[in-house]
Amino acid sequence: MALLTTEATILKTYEYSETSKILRLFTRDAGLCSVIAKGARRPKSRFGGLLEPFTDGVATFYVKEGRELHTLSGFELGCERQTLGGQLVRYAGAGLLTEIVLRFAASTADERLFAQLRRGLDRLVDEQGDLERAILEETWRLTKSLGFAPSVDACSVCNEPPPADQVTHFDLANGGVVCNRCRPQVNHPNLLRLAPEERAELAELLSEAVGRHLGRVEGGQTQRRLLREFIAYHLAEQRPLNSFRFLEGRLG
Amino acid sequence: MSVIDDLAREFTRLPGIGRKTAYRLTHFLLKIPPEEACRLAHAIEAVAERVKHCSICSNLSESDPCEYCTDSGRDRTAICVVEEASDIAAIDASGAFRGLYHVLGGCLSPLDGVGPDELNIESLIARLNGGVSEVIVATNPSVEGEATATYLHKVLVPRGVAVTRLARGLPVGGDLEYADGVTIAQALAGRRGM
Repeated sequence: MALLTTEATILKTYEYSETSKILRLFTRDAGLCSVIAKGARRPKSRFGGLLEPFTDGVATFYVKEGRELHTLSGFELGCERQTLGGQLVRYAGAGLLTEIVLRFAASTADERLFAQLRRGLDRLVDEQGDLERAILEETWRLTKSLGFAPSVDACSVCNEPPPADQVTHFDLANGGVVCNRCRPQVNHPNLLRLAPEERAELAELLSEAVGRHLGRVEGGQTQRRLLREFIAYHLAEQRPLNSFRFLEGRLG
Repeated sequence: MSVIDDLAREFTRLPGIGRKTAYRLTHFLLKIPPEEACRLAHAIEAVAERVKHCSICSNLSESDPCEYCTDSGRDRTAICVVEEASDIAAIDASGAFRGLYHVLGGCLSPLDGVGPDELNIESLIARLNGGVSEVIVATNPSVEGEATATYLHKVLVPRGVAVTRLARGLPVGGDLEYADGVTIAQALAGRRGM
């Protein structure tokens, strides 16, 4: 039984037996892992209040070969984000980021995804501007870290940039916008109409350029729908994420 | 599939019971006198048939309304809101609270698809018309519990009741030296004048 010490973010916790917890961790060195923290729910447990979702730290656990559940030996606090529970939109956004990692990350190291998750959670704690923009941007970045990003600047069929003032469509199957010239070739039932300003806003949300527009998201419902359906189509095999419903209930 | 397998399979549906433990329990029941096993079976049957959710507070009880809701000696101006019915026993055993209870049936959890509509919040709001002046939110000291408390605060305060939250911090009898950073931070944030 090998002892592994690695940076980790707690994604979700489950109560187990009378006093223990099972944690789903996203670790820097081993990707997605499940560990059992024995006695963690006792009032005087050595883990205390550390083992909560969205908390970063250094986890040490005994890795059992061929097993999926390892035993947590220690957890050294790096950064706790319990304040997320104090504001429901931030909490909903953090839930969305962690659900994406929980459902789509692999049990192997992924440095880029690991760093992006932490950046996203940090931003949701600290964001002073438009929270909806922060959630949409960080969710798109996480999706990009998983290897999926929509094509917005060029038509996903002919690869030519559509005129800026043209109404286009977003094709989930092709993973991007389709210009009016190529539109007749695309026969998918799930094309979403995109007004020029909605396409421009999507491009903004996908941009990571310094100095980009950071104001309020104008077409929030459209942008949420695009993100939700893109993830459902490309990552979730059409099974919607639970956190989206919760988030939309909070944003209205 | 034999009746032994049947029973073991039913045991595996209980929390914390795996396949091995399920068979161990099954074989234990086969070793004890049959009348003892039947007593257990009758107790399970009676609980399933007679225990229901209280129509006022959603507590689990044999009577409806439950014994807390019908107790005239209780303070009817204060309601303590808990996540699960099992939390009531812990709070009531402390003897420090003699008001009424309300069971939410869980806490807000985006990942599990549990939003406000899945919790008994509408029935809590409906109870506020009966002279209630304080709602004590006794959800667990977790991120989910805190989010649930935040939501309750948001919907209850405009209705003119005081909303309070159980204190968080160091456990009584605990040792400061061994407390973790999160617990100490919570204790400091919740410090009070002396």
